[in-house]
Amino acid sequence: MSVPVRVPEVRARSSLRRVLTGLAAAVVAVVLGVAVFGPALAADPELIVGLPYTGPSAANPLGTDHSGRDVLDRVLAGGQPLLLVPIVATVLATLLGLVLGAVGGYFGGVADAVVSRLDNLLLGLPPVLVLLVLLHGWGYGAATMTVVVVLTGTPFVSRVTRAETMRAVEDGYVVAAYATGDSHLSVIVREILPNIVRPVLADFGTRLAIAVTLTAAAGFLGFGSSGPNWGAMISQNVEGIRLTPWGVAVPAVLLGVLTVAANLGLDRVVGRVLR
Amino acid sequence: MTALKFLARRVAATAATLFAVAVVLFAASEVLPGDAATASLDPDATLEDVARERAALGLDRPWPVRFAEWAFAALRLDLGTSAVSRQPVVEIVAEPLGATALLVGVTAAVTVPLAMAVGLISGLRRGGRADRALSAFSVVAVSIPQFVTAGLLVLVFADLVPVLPAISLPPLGGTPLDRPEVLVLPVAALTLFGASWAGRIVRAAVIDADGMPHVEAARLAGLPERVVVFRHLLPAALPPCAHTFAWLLSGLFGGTAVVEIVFNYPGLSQTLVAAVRKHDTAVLEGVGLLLAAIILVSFVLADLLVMAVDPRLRAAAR
Repeated sequence: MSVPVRVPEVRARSSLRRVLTGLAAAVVAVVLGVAVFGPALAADPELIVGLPYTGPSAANPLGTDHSGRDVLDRVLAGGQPLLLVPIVATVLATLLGLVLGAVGGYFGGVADAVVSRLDNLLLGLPPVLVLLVLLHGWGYGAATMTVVVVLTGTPFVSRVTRAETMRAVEDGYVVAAYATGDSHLSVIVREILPNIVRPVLADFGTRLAIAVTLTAAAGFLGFGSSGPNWGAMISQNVEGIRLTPWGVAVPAVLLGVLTVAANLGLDRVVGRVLR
Repeated sequence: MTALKFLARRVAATAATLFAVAVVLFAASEVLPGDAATASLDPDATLEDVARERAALGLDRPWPVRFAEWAFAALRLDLGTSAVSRQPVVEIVAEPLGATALLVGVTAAVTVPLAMAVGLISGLRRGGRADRALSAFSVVAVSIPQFVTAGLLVLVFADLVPVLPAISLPPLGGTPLDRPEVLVLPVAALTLFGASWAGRIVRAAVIDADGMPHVEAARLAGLPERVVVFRHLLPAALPPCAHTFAWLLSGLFGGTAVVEIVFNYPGLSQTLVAAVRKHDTAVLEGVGLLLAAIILVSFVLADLLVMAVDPRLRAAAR
């Protein structure tokens, strides 16, 4: 198949693409800014300022929610809980998955059998079920959400790490390091990890997006802390959507931008840093 | 390995996994703080009341004993009795299970052909305009939480263009089939995610199969493209797809959780969430076990499907 080359169109498309990329980055920056600095800018988000489900006004630019609280203040205050816990939990899941996968892939035998069985067991559990069972036992909290994200995220990291480690073990530089008398730990940390870190981190952004989704889902299902949370706002205000859509629309769009940015943007950033 | 031996081994492994899931589920919901006795009593009950209730429910016995009883009863399809509503769990679960199965079934019936079509179109014309548009769309659709998609769908269709019901409550005493329009938005929300996710994997499988020697040979032999795609390329692309669709089913049972809540759909996830709110341990364990069993069985079915469609495996199994 021959491909006609049309230079002007390509150039036009690439400049359009640059504009779009810039716009996307600006939108993401605004959403991140709201999530990080919003709580400092918001007035008391629990204050009842008027009737439930009123439309935008000068005093309440986005109207009020199902309890007559200011939607804008709750939007400003409701992003932060979706950032800190998911980031910490995803980092923990990645580290744990790296250790388990490297141990299983490097040593093989019993260690590998244990790691593989554990991975398969955890992969068979639907994340929402894990979320609900732990909420049942412990209630909502940073610790609960961290454990949920670690339990559901670790097996994915561990599987990739295990496969990559098994491949790297055969490589000449690993055999050479071992032959010169390096310890197992030293071989794993100094020879294998640097060479497998790229494929393992390739979908860090995807896993962070899943962690944000799970945390928001806990709020959405009504288990979050009583404080504002974009996920919870959607389910709380959906009943009044005909009266005023802003209590659903604004947190939904912000949450959507956050997860898409984590999924797409972070993968690109990680890829660029590791290149 | 014969097909029968493969099947036997697969079923045994599945049973072992289900047992492990049951242990974890039981341990997590029984050993973690808060139990059915405190959940079913008034907040002002005395410690003696709680102790009497625990003895009446048999909660004072060691948990391995209770697990064995629960597991053996579950084998006879008896999932115990809710300490909150005093109803058998099987009765509580039956109707929502039907509603969720309907939702998942309709979604799968829409999603699977759509994902195959999307994957084929973008895989066969990779890099083309349609492929790039579909890829961009599906990456976004996969990234956005399903309850956000659902909320936005409600916003558009029930508010701005009010043609569909925003709440998917079936008529009293009826099933969702009595008002099929209540299924449209929940199915759409689940399909947007499912077809985008599965479509990406079908696309990769199609691209893989497109590079295989027998497909190239069929093309070089001058067979019409339709024959090349459906007789030669698709059978080679199906095995990874079958597993994807089994995963999709598992994802759907999880995904329905949030979508059912948005639309107030009377399914299994509503039951599950309500059980967690009311600390109804028996219902939580029953639904959890049921979900895990459905998902594990669907993986076995996917394996069988792969064996049925993959000539290489069929030959190996003979």
